[in-house]
Amino acid sequence: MSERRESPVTQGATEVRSESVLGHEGYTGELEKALELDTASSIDGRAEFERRERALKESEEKFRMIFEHANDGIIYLDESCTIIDVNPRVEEMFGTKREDLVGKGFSEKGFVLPHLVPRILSELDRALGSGFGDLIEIEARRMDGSPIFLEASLRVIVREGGDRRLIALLRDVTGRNRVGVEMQRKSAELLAAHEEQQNLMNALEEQNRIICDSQLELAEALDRAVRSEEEVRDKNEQLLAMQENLREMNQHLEERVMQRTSEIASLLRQKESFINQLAHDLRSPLTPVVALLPMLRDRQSDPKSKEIAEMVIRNIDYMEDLVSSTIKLAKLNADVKFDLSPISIWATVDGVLKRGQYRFAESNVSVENRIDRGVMVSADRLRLAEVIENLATNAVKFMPGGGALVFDAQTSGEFAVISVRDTGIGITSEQMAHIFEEFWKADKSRHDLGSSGLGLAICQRIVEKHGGKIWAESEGTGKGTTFFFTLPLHATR
Amino acid sequence: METKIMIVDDEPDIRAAVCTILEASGYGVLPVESGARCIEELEKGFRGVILMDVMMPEMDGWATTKKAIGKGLLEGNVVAMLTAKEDPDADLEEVAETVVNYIRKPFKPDMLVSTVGRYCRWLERDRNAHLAG
Repeated sequence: MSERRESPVTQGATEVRSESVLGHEGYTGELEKALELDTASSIDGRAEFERRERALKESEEKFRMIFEHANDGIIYLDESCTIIDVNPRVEEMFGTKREDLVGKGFSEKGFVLPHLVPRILSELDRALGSGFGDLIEIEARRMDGSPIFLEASLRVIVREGGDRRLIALLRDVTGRNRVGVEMQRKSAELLAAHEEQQNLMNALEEQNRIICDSQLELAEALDRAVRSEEEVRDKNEQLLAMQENLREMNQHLEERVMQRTSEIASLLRQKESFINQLAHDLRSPLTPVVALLPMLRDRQSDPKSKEIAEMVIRNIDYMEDLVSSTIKLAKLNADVKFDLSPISIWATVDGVLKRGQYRFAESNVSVENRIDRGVMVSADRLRLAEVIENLATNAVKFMPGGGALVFDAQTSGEFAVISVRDTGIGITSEQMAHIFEEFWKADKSRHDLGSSGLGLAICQRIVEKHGGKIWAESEGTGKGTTFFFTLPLHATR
Repeated sequence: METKIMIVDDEPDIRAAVCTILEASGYGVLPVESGARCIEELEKGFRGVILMDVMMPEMDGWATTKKAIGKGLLEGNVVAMLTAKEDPDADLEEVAETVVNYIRKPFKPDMLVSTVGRYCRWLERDRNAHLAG
């Protein structure tokens, strides 16, 4: 009978009823009552049977209703976990048909996530061993791939003959689980946000580090700037101090120079005064010597004694010349007034040459006065004569073997330029620097008693006191010398 | 030998030198060592050539000359100044008529003898003119 019924629910219900010894209450309560009734009324014939039939039908109806309309999914599996039957709720849950599931292994359709399969299997094993399993949570996929979270409870039923069946009750907890998922999502979001925040923080930190570095660099640069500014200030201060030092030194030097200058001026005055005084003081003791020596000489009968006397007289005469020239120079160095008058240079030279004609002849020196007679200068007659005399004497001295002496004059602006040219030994450039110095003598005349070493110095003083200049030119040793001096021309109007 | 020359100088060697040179040329020379002594001799009636040193202590040559002029003692005398200086440095106006020359020290004996000889001849001429007059 029951084999006739194709409905698995009916079949299941029947089997449930026959397997109710396992003590499953709830669903089977009614069924037992029915069975008891069945047992109790079996003695009555057909009516009884019919009544039982009806009762069974009603019961089947009831269980089918429960099976088909249950809010939970019910899967009926055999011992090898092959699906025997599912209720419509399961079809709903997975979005599939009963036909696609029946006869398949529970994991065959891929609804259950593969990583959960071992756990489910061990749970099934446990259930088969102990009779029931724990409430487990399973994440599965619907036919369309969307996730579904299930709460599953297992129950083992032992059939007549020892066969065991599994009933899996599935409750859709996706809604409940969505919170978890949402939480997970939120959590992930939070995590991401956290990560992002972390990244942001890192970026910020990096920025901060860069800023810090920049600030450090800036601080260093600032420090350097400050340091260099300090250095500059220090240098500046040093410079200022040095400047001040220099200024002080300068002032000190200026004072020293002024002091020295006045000292030197004072010493020069002392020198002049001393030389002048010495010269004067020498004149008195020289007087009896100069006066009496010729007499002493004349009284000598011995020629040797006469010669000695001559030598002494020469030296005394030289000494006298030196004294006279010194006094003359001292006077010229002092503030003397010249008696200026219009003077013909030609006439002055002529006079000097005539007075010295014997001396020139003795020295084998030919003289020539080429000066234009019309050239008139403004000069002190005696002083000018002295200049010409000195230059002539000087020239003769440096023409030891004789030679030619030529006087000439040109006019240049307001001056007459007088030249005295000789053919003597000449002057080196080294000597040229010294010839006008007081008491200086060229080496060749170093021991010449006819020279005081003051002749040219006196010439220079005289010429300069007239406002003129004096100088010498020579083309070198053995090529003669020309002395030039200038004197202001006499203004004719 | 008529004494015609007086040498007034505070330096004994110069006095001696002048005496020696002039005496060798036949002149009688009176040496005196100061201006005061010079005036004394003039007051005693000395007439002739007076060689007067400029620089002397107490009374120098110029002062002595002026004093002698003031006393009218230089009539018929010739005065020549002996000086170691380059130029005579006194006001010569007062003595110009009396002082005839400046003889610079040191002097050569020839020059002294000839100069003194010249002055003596002037004096001689003067005296002769006086005597003639």
